[in-house]
Amino acid sequence: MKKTAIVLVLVLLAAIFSGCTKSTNVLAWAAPSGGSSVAASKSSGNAAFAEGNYAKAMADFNAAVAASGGVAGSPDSEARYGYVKAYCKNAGLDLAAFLKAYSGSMTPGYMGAPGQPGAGSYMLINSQTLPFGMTLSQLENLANVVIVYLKPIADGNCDGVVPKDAAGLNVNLAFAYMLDGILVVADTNQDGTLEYNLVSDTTDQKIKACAVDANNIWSSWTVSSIPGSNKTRAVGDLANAINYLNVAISKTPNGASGTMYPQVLSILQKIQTAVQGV
Amino acid sequence: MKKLLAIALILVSAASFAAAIAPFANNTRALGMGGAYTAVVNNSDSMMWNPAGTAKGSDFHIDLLDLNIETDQKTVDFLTYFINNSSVFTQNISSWTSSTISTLSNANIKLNVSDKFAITGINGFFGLGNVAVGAFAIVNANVATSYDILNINANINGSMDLVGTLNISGMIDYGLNGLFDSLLSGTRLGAGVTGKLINRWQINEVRSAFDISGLDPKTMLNKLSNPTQGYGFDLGVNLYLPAISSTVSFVGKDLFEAIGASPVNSSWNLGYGLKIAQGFVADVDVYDVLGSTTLLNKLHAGAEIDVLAGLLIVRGGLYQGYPSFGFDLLGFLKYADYGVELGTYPGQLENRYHRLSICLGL
Repeated sequence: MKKTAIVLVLVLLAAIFSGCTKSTNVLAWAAPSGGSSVAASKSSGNAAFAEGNYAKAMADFNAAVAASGGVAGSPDSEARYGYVKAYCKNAGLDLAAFLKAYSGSMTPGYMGAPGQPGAGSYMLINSQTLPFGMTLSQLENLANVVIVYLKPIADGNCDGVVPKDAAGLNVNLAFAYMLDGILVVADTNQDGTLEYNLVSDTTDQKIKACAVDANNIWSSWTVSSIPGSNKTRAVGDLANAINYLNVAISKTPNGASGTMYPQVLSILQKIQTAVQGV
Repeated sequence: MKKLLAIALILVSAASFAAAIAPFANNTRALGMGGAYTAVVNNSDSMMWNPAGTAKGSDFHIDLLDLNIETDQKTVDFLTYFINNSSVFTQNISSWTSSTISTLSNANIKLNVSDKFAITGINGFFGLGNVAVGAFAIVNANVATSYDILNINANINGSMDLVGTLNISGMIDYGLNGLFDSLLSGTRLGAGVTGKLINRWQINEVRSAFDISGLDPKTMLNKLSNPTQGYGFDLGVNLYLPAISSTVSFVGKDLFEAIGASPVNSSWNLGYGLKIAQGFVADVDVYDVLGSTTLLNKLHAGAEIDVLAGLLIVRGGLYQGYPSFGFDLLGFLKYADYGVELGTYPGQLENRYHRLSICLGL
């Protein structure tokens, strides 16, 4: 009895020192490696995401989407949402860098180059401060992935585990469509290099596009070479962005009053008007 | 025989698990033992853990205070970061590093506080058997931020449960004879039921970075001023096997339970307890045996030993495979440290909790 007690106390002390912050699960050997079923793949993907292993999380969620009908037909909203979250992180999406950069760029007169719109303007997108800390190509791919994977959920074609009218889902789709709408204008041939900048001019309260040249970011207000098909696509994208944002607003407990939604909606509408006018 | 069972128990405990339980039923002693408590409990905790636990009868006892304070490792990590970098937060956001913003965008502060008042050992009350009454209160508060693809969400959750309980239990002699006489001699069956009346105050707000400014504290407080009423039952059966110092338990939790219009999922738990020696007990539980959760996530095992005549009691176990430990000091101070599996399978994603309790009773 005495020996048993001593052994037990030693075991407990070992547990104390091994379990203070993060511990090893003695049954981890029994967990499937992922891919054995849709549920197992999703669970493995969630764990990998939490640990910061975004490549593995992407692979796991992609396996879950593939096993449940593929990108075109999978009704599994959790797998779709998980894949997009992992994709964005794996691509280097850095909201922190975005917040940091734009907390300065939202100051009027941010750009000071010759030909620039001058004080009273806000940069929306330009070749120096791309949002989210990503390259243009990465942003274009990101917008595409968000739309392809999440649109079926918001359109009511999935299982409803992530509700089609969830505010977060619709905000993300609104931003993805806004990005796509802006990028199809700013990078007309989708080659990863900006041809135009977009700026919000507070003097006349309009969103404007201007060409980028090699020497100056702002060389002209004249925009003449945006193809008509790009404009059509951009206008459609921005209409979608406005629709999805309105769904998100409708789910806000006390309405849009007092939130940033009216300003975001206003910007989207101005961009849409600007694109239609160029 | 006892040694064999003890060894078997320790071997089983080296490969065990469990599922989440109702927050107000949590207990520091149980959590130190890896959540394996069903067949061991015999005091006021029985009302929330196993209603048959009071069936053997006990001395009249009043729990005046059972104050529990609990938080998780993510909170500890965040607060440590916050304290070590406190000067940064007084500066303009444009001077913050991406690392600081990332940390704030994935922050978590969780605090659970609970208390109970209970009277047990009201034996023979109106001939109904053993009677116990209690009032349990728990406050959960959780504020967290998280990335949501192209957005940042703030989650604000708070709840307070106030649960009044009435527990009635009794014991009958089983009186088995024959083939298993040596094993079953002296076998007795205990049964008990706990009725629960619940009041729940709750807020649950998920706000994105774009509508956080629309958060109205008055509206939130109004929600807290309107509790939702509920009711439910727990049912427990204990089979006492004194010949092998064992107890086998079967407990139905949250039966016919509803809070407001929302039904609460019921579950059935199995427990096996072994008294290895005076002051030395062990237990293995299987939570929610009929549920669809992965089997290994239902398993809990643990042991407790009194090493200093009640002044120091040490506990250890496995909570869903993660090591747990705990202790009682001087009869009124308790501590438990345990990990909960957030994934579907063992070892996928641990959330570790730390819990401190102060108890006073008569």
